[in-house]
Amino acid sequence: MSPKSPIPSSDSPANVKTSDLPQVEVQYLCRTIFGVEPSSATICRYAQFHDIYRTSLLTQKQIDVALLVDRNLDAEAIEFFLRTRRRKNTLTSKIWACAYFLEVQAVEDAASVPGLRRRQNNSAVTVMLMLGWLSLRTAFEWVKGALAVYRYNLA
Amino acid sequence: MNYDSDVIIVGSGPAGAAAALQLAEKTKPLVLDVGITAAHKTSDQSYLTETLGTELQGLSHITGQYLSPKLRSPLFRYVTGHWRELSPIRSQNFRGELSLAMGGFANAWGSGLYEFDDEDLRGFPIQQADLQPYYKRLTEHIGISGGDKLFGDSIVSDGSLLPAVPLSGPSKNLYQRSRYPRASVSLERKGIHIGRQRLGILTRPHRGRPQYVFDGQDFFRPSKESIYHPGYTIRELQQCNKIDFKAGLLVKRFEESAEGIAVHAVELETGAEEVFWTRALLIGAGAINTARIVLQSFQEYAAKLPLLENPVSFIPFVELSALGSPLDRSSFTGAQLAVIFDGPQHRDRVQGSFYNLSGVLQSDFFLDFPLSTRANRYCLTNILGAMGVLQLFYSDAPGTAGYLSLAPDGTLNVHCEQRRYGAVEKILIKSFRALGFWSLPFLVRYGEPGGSFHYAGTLPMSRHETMKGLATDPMGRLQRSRMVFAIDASTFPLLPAKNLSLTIMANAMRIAAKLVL
Repeated sequence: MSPKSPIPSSDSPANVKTSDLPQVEVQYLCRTIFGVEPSSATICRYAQFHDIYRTSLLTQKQIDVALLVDRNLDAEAIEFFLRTRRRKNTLTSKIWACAYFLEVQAVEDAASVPGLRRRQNNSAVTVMLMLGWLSLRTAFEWVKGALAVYRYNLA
Repeated sequence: MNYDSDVIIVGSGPAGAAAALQLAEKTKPLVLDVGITAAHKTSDQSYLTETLGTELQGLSHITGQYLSPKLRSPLFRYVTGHWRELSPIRSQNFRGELSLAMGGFANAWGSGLYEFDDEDLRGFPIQQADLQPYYKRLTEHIGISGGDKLFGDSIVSDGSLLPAVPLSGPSKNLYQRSRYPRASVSLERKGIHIGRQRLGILTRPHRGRPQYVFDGQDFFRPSKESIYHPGYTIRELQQCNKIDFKAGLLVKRFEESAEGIAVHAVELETGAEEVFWTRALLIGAGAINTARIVLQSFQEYAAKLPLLENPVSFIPFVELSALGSPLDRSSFTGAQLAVIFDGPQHRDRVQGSFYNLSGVLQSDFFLDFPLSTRANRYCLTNILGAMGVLQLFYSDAPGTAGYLSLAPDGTLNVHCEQRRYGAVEKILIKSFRALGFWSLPFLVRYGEPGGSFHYAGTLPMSRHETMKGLATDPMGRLQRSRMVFAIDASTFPLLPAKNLSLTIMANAMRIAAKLVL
């Protein structure tokens, strides 16, 4: 599924490339991949992650995440294709970090809004059908990711 | 000669604490330890602080080396803190950890506590009967919960065990199905036994320590008094004035002479060397660091000592009928079941622990599903609740897979190898399928070299003089020495697949009890 919504640029001048800012990155990744709006705390934590792990991120395969944001590319497809080629890459690492921050955010939200975290059981059959569909979708994403990576010379 | 104490014990882990407990009956030992303790208060922590840490320490594996979720957790970091600077190891492939914490690695252990039976002690110069009185005393002292008689031990039948930890989720279903008559006969025939874990966890109040409260935070929050670790024994003995305890000291070496034993330690705060005099020295610094102290004391730079560890594998299972169930966050998040395999397909018994996956952050598994990120997110919320992981431990014997030696600069050169089996995993996968739990052989993961954290065998017990006197006699005494004893797993000549902590403690008590001053 490709991201449709552009990144709001209310906090920055319109003509300045802001996508290399961690704040913009995290908003893009959280929206397009997780379908969640990051809280201000999550945005701060993501920026902190960048600062703390800056050096060790440099040892990984560098992916131009700013380009993904600027061109509104399908981060999910690109990440999946790259992960199948080389798991240690900066895009996968950043998305993984987002997953942690959003998990913490969900617990914090649940603590402030009782009952928010409660989830209905899905039936085993529904889950299996869903997994079948998601596997097909994943195969499609891989092809889409591969095309994007070669087209934009991302790897 | 003025001795600082008749007996000095090095280390406050399972061996040191158990020896101190035993010795406190006849003398007042002095315990020397680095003794790192938890830096933070464990109450009033935010979820972020507990799980990822204010400095995001819990995310180090994203860009760096893999570390188990518990040891990565910010509040558990102290358990493995500073060992790289203070006990340096040089190795191409060692991926293990050491602990210099008060109470040792047990601060973060899974708290499995089992007796070794005579089959496990095959190759040891001692028998189960030699350890029996100490197993019994420790069971009472620690408070061990459990149920089934899975092994050839005695503590089930004498009623000294506390009730077993309640089962939940996939563990509960697996256990119940394994009890169906047809399934149970079939499993027994294949040499598979499934039973309750025996754990150092209080299921009711015991000796002033509270009952365990299930809150799903075991992987993040240490120092719950209802989960035993040896630091409690040290503290208790210290409060009763039965031992002297000095922390902040790194013991480097000893010198034995006709006058006694001089123990040389570095005070970590000032860097100054301190010397303590004693009649008898009991070293329980862990199999690797005990070997380091011994090699440094004898300035043995050419000797190559064996290093045993339990090779580990992990088999993920999915209970298909439970797909879609949410994670149960109010259960015990450690291993709830013990699985034993003693079929003919492997030379020794293999022991496993079955875990539900409710204990850690879901995101730890985010990349473990081979799908795109959205699909993986779906898997996390709909499959993890139906999943369990069986962690298998294999036995080890001296060979070429593991050894260590001392370099003149005090660094230990350690060699370990990853070992992969597979036959037992295939049998278990097939057998569990009949119980409704599915897996595939290609999903099995193998632990990295040193990754079991169960180290042993560096100074093995033997009735005969071996390894140029660097081995120990059946009483744990260094063959080259008169009154210096190794009391930890360094003395184990073989390492069974069974969890070794309780036997380390019982053996240390045995050595301490027989000590003649």
